[in-house]
Amino acid sequence: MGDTIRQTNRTMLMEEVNPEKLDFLTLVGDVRGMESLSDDKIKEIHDQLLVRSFDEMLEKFAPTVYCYYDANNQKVAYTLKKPEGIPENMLTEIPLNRKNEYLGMLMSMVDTKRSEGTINADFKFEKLTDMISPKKVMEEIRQNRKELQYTYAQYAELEDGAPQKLDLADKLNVMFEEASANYNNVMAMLPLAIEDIKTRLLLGDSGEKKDNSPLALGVLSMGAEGELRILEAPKVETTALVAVDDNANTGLIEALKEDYKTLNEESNDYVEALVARTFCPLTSTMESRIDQEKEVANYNSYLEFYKESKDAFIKTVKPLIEKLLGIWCYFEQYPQKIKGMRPSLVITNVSNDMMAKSSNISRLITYLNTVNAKNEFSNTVWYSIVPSVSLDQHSKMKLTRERFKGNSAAMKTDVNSVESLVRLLDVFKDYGVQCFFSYETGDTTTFNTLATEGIEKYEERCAPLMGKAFSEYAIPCLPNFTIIPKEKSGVVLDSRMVINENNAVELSKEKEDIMKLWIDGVYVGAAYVAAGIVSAYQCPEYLKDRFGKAGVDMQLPGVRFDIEADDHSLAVRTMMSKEITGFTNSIKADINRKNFGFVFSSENASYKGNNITNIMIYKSRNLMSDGYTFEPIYKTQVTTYIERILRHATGDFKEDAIVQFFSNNPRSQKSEWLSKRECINAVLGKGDDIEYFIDNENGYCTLNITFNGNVKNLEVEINRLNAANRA
Amino acid sequence: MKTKRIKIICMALCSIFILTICLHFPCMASEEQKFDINNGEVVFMLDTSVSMNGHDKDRLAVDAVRQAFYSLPSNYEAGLVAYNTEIQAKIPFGTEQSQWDENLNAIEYTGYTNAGEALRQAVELFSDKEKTNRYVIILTDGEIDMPDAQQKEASRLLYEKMAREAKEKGIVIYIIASGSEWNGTGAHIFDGAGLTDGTIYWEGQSGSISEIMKRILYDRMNFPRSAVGASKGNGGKLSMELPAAAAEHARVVLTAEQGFENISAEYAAENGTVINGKKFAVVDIEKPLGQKIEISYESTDVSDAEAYLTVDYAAEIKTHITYRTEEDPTAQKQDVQNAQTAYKHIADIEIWLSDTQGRNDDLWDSAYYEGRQISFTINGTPAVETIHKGRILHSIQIDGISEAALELDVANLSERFAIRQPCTLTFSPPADPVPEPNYMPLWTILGVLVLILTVILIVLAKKSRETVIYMANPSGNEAKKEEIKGCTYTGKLNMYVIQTQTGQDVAPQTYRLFGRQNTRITLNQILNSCGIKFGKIGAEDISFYAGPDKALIVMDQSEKCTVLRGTEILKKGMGYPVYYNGKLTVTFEDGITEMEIHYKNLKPSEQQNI
Repeated sequence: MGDTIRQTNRTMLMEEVNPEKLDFLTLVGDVRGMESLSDDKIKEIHDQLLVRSFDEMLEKFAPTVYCYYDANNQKVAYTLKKPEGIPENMLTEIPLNRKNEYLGMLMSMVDTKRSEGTINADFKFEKLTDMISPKKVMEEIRQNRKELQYTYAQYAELEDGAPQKLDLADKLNVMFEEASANYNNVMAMLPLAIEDIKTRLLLGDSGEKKDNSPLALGVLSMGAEGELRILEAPKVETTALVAVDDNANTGLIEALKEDYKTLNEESNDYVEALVARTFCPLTSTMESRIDQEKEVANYNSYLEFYKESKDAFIKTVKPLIEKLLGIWCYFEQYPQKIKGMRPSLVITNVSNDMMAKSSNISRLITYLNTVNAKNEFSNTVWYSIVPSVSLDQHSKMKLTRERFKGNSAAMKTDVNSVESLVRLLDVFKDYGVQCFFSYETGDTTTFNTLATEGIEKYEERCAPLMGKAFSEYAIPCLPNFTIIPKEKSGVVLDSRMVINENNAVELSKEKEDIMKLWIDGVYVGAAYVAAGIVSAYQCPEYLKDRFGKAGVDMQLPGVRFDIEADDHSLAVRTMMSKEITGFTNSIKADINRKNFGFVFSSENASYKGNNITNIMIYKSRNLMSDGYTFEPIYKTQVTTYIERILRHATGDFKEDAIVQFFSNNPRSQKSEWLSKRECINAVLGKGDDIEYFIDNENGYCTLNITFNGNVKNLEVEINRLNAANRA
Repeated sequence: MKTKRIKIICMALCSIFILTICLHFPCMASEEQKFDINNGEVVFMLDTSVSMNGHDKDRLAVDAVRQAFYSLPSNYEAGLVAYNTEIQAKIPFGTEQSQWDENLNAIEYTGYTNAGEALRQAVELFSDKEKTNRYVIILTDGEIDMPDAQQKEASRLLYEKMAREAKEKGIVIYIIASGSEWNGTGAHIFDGAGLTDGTIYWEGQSGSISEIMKRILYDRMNFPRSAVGASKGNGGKLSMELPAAAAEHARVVLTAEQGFENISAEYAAENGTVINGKKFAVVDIEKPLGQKIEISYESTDVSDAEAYLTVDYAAEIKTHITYRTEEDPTAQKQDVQNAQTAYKHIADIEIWLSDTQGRNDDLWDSAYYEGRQISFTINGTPAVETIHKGRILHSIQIDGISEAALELDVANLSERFAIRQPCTLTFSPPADPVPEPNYMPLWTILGVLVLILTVILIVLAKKSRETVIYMANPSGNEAKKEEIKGCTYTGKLNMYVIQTQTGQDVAPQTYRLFGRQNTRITLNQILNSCGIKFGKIGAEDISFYAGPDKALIVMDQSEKCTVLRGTEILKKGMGYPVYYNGKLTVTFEDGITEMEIHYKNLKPSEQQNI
């Protein structure tokens, strides 16, 4: 990489991840009278908002869902914004991280799909959606408790004061901490309780057992006449747990009970026993007598509550989850193993509409004036992502207050208005920031819909953004990616429990008793993936990984890399798995005729003998049109890149330095670029050229940059205060 | 014999060919000549004495009278006095043709020659009409002769007396002396010709009687006609076209010494007859409907045949007058003191003839008349103009004339036009153009004033460009007064409303300065043009001016607004330059409304798009 510009893929995500964390507007602060921000301020902003990986994002922004209970309607409520007026102790924060079973499930789904390479129609989504059922939660706990039991047994065996015992104690502390996360709040306890009851009541409910008689534990013995018989074991009339095995488990049970009591002021015996049963082997905690009716009622109640709770949780968290998945997908495009110009993301952590408010937009301008309008390019923002743009092309920013009751048409509240996008684009164009935007997620913007309806809908939606000064910087990305299709998003939690005529407990076989919740489709905005893949191929290391070292110049970024050219789209493809079998020829012909948008394709193809199972890029165009076709996005970036290099190299466009810059001297910048024209990432590729014309009258230098015969103009104001003029 | 017949056939064919070619355009052969277009009265005095039996066995004299009678144009009256010792027959003017033929057929040659009584009877037949030619044509074979000398002398004296009287009446006597028994020119009968300026024609010497009669008619009387052909052969075909449609009367007279047989004529007319004599034939057509006439005839032997066409049109004069005025330089000079333009008024008169019955609007509108010259008089002033497209155009000055008498002289045309003349032209020229007042001095004064005004405006414009502003001194010293001149607005303003009283979010606006007139612009004007209305909160007192080096000069003259250039608060009433990418922050008088203004450059391509 050249020394002047070390990165060309800094991206700004115009989304809110966690409103409780600091956001861009707050950090930039009051900019009255300020042309730019101080270096310290920029550092502070980046400390808070700049992330280079998904995990860093999770760490910095700690996306959280807030949970509280409403006694009036006996329901649990979730919210992404921390509700004001609710005491901290009444509020449960649920972190959305890799450990969150829902987020984990979705990420696993993408990974699995990618490794399987199957299209949506063939993929068994239910296998993975099962991950959020109580049974799966319990399975994880079983593994944990096995380790806990083993470690505690070792601990118990050692003498007090033994150094090894102290090490084990540390380990146990960590394990107890993790376990306590489950019994720390009732919600987390629910799947445990459900599974616990199921385990206890359906102990004899194995696949082989056909009769409906209840289980009575007995002891195998020989009778007086030598006959073999099973005698029912004597029952102890107590509600307390009976310890019939070794001392070690007794100690563990006591330790868990004590821990639970310490952490929960209002502890009760039932939960206490539940915790003990969950984290200790069943044999040690076998309850000698069970009140079946009560337990069945509890089970059904828990299951119902769990289902409603999960349902509410999923609905609340879905927009945030889609954002998180989008960020994850952005980073996923750049493989972990590659060490080069890793994409970085500045997350504004503020809603797009808020950012685009007239009162706030000057803060964005001041920030960009600092990072983009200086001859220091380490923090220059090259791209931006505006996902979830409203499909209503005339959508306005939300009014501060609705004075009059307007149309009550159901509108998605978590979408970005076209008006706010326009405002942002107007700023981005002044600072050379290319904006990837995608339309609101849902089943109307998927590959499936594009394959059936074509791109006309998108073109119509983009019409207000065409023919404007900022059109060159607006990149409509389509279609959105489907993580779980709406129709396959059902999750079976379990079935209701019933007591049959033989007084035996069993799971109901009735259809209406099956507890099922719908995730309702999860999607990722195309803008994330588009920005991710474009950011990725800016890195010469990445290009080397894809094309081999021979054709890549390691000093140059991929600004001129034309993803549409040759077989580039086969080599540089997304990390997303194919979704559909492909577009019809007529749809593709339509896309090719219009050359519209940043279009992904889910096509059958092979590259160097290997079948491609990833989604590829079919078109990469912005909204600037010459009346016939839209312009490839690389042209804009090359122009911006050349302008920045020129500005840096010529001391803010000094006339004599410009002449030197374009001279035929082998050491001139133009000559250096031309010498590398055979490379895939050459700034001036085959068929490209650059000429300049100085308009002394207006004090402007016009650069005619030729891309494969098509000329693009760049005008820069000449700095006339050079040495010659001063003399 | 055979050779002779072939020769005759060839000649006949040649004559047919020549006639057909020549007669198609009869006028072409005729030279421009003047005809006598006056009305006429002719009285034939036919000597029917017994001596005529010897000299005119074939009654050719009677035939010649008949030939003349049928050849006369329709404005001629004819009468007859056949005499011997007494008056044998007398036919007054206006007698029908049939009566003529009856009387002529009844004539017998007998008795003496009482020419005195005959002339007296003949002279009595003439009318007193003015402008009428009067002729007496005497066909006789000898001197005055009566049974006794006394009667002879009495007749001679009467003859002489009547001849003198005829002279007084303007009657011209032509004498055709037939036979060969004439002793010199001393006969008393010849005195008539001598006394009346007439002529004596001698049969044989002057040709046959028929030829003499033809000469009298066409050479002496000279009424309008056209020769439509002459041929030598024993048959022929005449083809001719009338010069214009809607003729009243057309007559073709053929004469040949051998006479004509099997005459047939093809034409379209209301009425028509063919009259055949011994040495003539006449095709008489009344109101021809077409213009084409074709006549074919045969003759017993090879003889010279001649054909004449007389055509009468009943016409009226039509005119169309247009008026024009021309400056009269001579009059202007005379009237120089009044400095008023004098005009002469000219009437452009289009004149043409039209059929009185409306069958032909323009009788001259044919190739036949194109280019012919027509003489005429207007108020007695003679003029000649050429027919062009059926009309003649004449211009006369009509100052002081309200009417004029137009009289055409169509004597040079071989057709007779019966025209009611003179025609009165009434002139009604339009009023003179009101002479425009002489604005020259006024224009001169106005021109001078405009010049002065322009100079003043230029000076003012220069002054207005030379805006005087108290510019803030960067060093913090007192403000210095600066004249800003020759500066123009460049760039644009991006405006962001940060806060409003209502909390309303106002979309960012761009205001283009480039290309605007170099005058003071207030922030209020800018906000209004962007559709932003804050009310009276001081925006009208914040002004912008174009400054040097593409700067924008901002001046805050408000009472309570706060304007920041960067972080510097602007002093009231001072001008501060803002350069490209400079930023102004304005807090308005209400203390709430706040906005940022960014001054940005416009690239040449953006300027061109404006």
